[in-house]
Amino acid sequence: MSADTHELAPIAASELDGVLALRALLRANLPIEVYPRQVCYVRSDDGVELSFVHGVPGTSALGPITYAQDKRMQRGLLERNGVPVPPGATFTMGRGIEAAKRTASKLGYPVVVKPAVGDNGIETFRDIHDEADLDAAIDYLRNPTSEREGFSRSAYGLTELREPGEENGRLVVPPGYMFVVEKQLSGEYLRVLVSDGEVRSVIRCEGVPSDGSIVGGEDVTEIAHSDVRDLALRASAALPGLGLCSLDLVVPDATAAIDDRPVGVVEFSERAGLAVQAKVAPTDAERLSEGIMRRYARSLGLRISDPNEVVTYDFEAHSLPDPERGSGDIVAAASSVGIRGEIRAVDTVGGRVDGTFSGDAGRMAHLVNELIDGAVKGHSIMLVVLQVAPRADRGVAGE
Amino acid sequence: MVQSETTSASTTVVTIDRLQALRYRSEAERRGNTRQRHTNVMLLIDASGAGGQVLGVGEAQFRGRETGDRDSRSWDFLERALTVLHQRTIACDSRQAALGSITELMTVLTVLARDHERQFVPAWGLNRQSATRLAKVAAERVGLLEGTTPYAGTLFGVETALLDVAARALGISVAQLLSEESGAVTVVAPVVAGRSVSTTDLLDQLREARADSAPDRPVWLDFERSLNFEDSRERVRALVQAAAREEIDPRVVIRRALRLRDFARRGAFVREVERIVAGTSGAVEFTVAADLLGAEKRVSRRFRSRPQVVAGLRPAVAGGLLRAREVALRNAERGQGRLYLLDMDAGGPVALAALRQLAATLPGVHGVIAKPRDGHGTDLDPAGLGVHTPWEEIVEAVTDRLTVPAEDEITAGPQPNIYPEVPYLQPLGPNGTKGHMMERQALALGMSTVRFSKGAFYANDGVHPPLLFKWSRSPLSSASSLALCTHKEATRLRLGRAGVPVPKGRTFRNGDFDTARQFADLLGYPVVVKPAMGVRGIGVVAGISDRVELDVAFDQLRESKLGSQDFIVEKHIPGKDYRIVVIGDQVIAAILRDPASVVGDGVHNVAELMIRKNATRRLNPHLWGRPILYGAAAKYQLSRAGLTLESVPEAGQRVILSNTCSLSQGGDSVDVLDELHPSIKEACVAAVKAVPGLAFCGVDFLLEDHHKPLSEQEAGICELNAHAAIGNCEYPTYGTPRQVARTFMNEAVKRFDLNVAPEYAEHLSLRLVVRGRVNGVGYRRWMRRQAVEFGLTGWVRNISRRRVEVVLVGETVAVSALAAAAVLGPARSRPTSVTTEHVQPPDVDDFRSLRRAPQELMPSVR
Repeated sequence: MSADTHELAPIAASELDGVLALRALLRANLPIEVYPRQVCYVRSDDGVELSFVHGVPGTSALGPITYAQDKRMQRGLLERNGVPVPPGATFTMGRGIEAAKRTASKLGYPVVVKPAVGDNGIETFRDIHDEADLDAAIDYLRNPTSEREGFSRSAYGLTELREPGEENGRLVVPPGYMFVVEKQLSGEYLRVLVSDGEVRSVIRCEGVPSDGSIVGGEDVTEIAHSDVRDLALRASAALPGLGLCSLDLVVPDATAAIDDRPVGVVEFSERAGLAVQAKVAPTDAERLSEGIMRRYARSLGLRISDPNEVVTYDFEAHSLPDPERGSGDIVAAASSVGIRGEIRAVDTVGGRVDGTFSGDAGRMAHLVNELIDGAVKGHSIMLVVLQVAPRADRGVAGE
Repeated sequence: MVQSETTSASTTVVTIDRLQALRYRSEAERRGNTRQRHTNVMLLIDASGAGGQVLGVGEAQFRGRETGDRDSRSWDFLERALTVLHQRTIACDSRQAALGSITELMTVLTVLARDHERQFVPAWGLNRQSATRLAKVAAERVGLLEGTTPYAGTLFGVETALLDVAARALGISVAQLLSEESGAVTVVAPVVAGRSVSTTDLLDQLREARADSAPDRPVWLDFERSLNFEDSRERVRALVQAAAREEIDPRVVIRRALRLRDFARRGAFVREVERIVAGTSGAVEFTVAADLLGAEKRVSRRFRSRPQVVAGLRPAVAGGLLRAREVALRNAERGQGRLYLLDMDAGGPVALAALRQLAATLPGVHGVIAKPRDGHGTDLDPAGLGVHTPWEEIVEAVTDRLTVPAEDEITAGPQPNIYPEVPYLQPLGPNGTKGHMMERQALALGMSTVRFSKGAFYANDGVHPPLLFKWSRSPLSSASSLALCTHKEATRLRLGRAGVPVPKGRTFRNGDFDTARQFADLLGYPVVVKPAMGVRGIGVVAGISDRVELDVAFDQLRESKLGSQDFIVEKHIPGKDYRIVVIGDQVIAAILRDPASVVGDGVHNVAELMIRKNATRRLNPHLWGRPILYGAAAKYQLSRAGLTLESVPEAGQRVILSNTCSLSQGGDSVDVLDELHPSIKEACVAAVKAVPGLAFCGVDFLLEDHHKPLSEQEAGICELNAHAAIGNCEYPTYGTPRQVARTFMNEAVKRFDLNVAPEYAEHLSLRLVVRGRVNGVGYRRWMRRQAVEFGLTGWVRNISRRRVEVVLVGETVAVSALAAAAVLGPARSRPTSVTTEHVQPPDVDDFRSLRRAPQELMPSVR
């Protein structure tokens, strides 16, 4: 970001789920604590607590999420649950490259190459038609993750503790680093969102989300064949303990019964991945996020008010390294996204700024996300506490 | 201690009173990140005579086929050998008398070695083993393989120690003991030039090294037997060309030029090299060195066949310095070829000293080819081998020890717990308990499991959806709880808001020292300063007691590698380090973590105490792979206490050996659950409750005294671990072990209302199906060996090209551990998953590798 303006960057696809979840909570006038890496909490008066990380609700458990982030185990679970996955295998960078090439030619090109462990739906190389393409893809993945533009690591991801490798003086990933080579299926590319045991959205993609080639799509939720829905539900049930998941399926025809032509789950993510729906219609992504949050709240017995477009919140920004300058920058950043910001108190020694935000909930969510991220003039705030301002409508009530 | 009845023959003898063997790992460094691990044994022989006590050292080297040693067999043989030597005497009237005594003793041991080896020679018959043996004999006849004295590497070490004893008793060096004349020795480091180095890199390195190379000595290149004929030839061609252009040293000796498979073409290779060299102009001299065999008659034959040969003699292969000397002298008589002494890969300082002593007595030897070591240059100790026990090198690498006469393993101070299940858990590796303990519980409760890796498995009760675990990442905790706990500042803020005691503090912008000073004054001293995203304690200063010290700390931070970061100032809590485990809303285990230490007994030095302490750690499933290390921290602590590894602490004196309480750095764990003040437990539960969805947590609490209420002490929670280790409280060093895994699994059973057995089963009968590359890679043999070692019955058999069936019957601890290790398998296997289910115990009384199932398995009924 330029130093002279306070315009906020557009929301990155990997951050959108978290921002939309925060938006839904703000619209419900709930009291919220927002922590770094898209962790947020809502506490109601009777002790019921909601939690989210990257828009993933607290109903998604740690064990299953760890399996979802490991494609070898994920594929194993899907296969054991009778869900078709493209034929393929996992290899290590240290000693698996030759075997990967043999496998690729045995599977038949085109193949897909992607990292085996970590965030889903990123750094995927499709349309690999020959060994040269394969070499190029592997060469990209050989770079240490810190130097790869497309790399991201979720807040719940595994930390790399292995020593990096070295190859003729070049720093590379550890020899045990794994990647997947699988057959590229042809057909319609669908993105399915499953949450709380039901298919909530089916998008027929134009392009592919995992390699960034998606340009749009069509919402086929209503017309998708029940075979497609069943397949998605079966896949979702293969990793029990996830509150939601998004899957990419390749099928011959989304509206037709699944026959003996090849189909397969080509991506499985523990996140909602609503950036895809947002490409088709931003309001659909917002609606789906709102639904996730409301069902989650309801399952814990929390009654919530109807959504408000415009909200007013008192905020506390904690652990500001430079509160004096920070307070001014916060107000300026707020106004750049159409949020009215007012500072009430600045505690220089305590590192805290108190004030009020008022405006559109979606923009406020975006602003808070950026404040925590250090994207506003580098002020890395470690906690934003949001309380509905007294004069606004109260919406929260414990049951 | 001098024995009168055996001293009658000579006036001066020394008697061997005590023999000690310390087995340790030694690594040969290779290019890249690879290392080759070998086993050495440090031998310490205490002897006494009229002149007082002497200590001799020797280094045995177990190098498999090269020295005729095998780790476990050689270790057993060594014990027999040391027992034979106990109370024997060495005449020390003169050089000759001493050499005579030692030769006699070594003859006894050589006979013993043959006898020991005989028990492993298989009976002749038509099976695979005998066929392999026949092939080996045939290979030896044609010179492909080396026929060696059994346990040559062991005998080499023992003999070295005996020579050291005798030389010290006589007050002369080992070289002087071996010969009246001795000369100077040069040690030349070989250049690693195997497959891991590209020819280009190798040439670059040799060009650089050309400037400081000695003109009269060739460069030794070690191809590490890693290249095939063609690659090796091309590499030589490139080197010869560079030498002809005078870019690199013109005199080169190549060792281990060909991989074993191409060894038959060695003659052709030597001719190729000669041809390449002949094709160049200039004074280029390339030689392919021959590694000499132990048996001398082959040596002479080789020398006869090629007049311009360079040969390497390895005393550890010859079975000792005396035999190596004979071989070398015979060679010198013939006056043919240039002879060098070679150290083995990963040889230690004592073996090098032995080689130098030997080389000094052999004018025909051109040098010792070995990795040079510091401190072994000109200022040699004039007596014995000229080296002291290299405690620094071995103290943290010792894996086993034996003493003759046998000694109790009791250490001073409180007695640490030892756990009999260690051998079962060792195949899982040092961190193995973390991924295994929960599965053991699941299996003992009658659930079936599927394992994908050392850490990941899922458990199934056959009714409900399976529970997915990886280490202690469980289906009980939420993903968001981990996300918060792995962020320290976020955890502190969250806990602070929940009213849980945390060290007060905050983050400051880089350079904003004025505000930080005000904040510290407000907070009250002492404080800690650290970088915001710190690693490894860089830039951290604790215990700052006033503004002056604070400014010093800021200076240190600024000058540190992390000086450009934002920084944290927080209250310093002068407490001890506790790990308290919470499951649900209960504190179920608590340990105090003490820094690594040893307690003196007035007899042993610090190094010996460390080795003993580490021996007891090896009997702890959580600590066996986490020895006390002799690193920078230990050195710092020792120097602070004015001690060295050789110091003998007084009885009862506690010597601290690390800066932190980390168990991984050698720290001890002490169970304190029953003594924990209720207010501390309440705070722990409150902390865990402050993080929604956190079902299992290791709370790191700094406390002054765990008996006292929180209100009466300075205390703070500094970290929550959402995927904490299970083994540290399950297996404390001292105090009562707590069943963390069982409580955790019971909680899961309750939460998901699982259908499990009412009791924890002490015996299991399991059927495993192992998938992956498990055929033709020694999987079944490996499994059988483990099962027999674990005392289990059952069988193993192939059921398809990529599947093996294993049936295991026995104690739960052993059966479940082997079921977990099944996913690792032997080195060449690549299992991808293991499915484990309960069966009714089959009628078998041993463990076999079979072609077909001997009986039908019935699923177990619960």
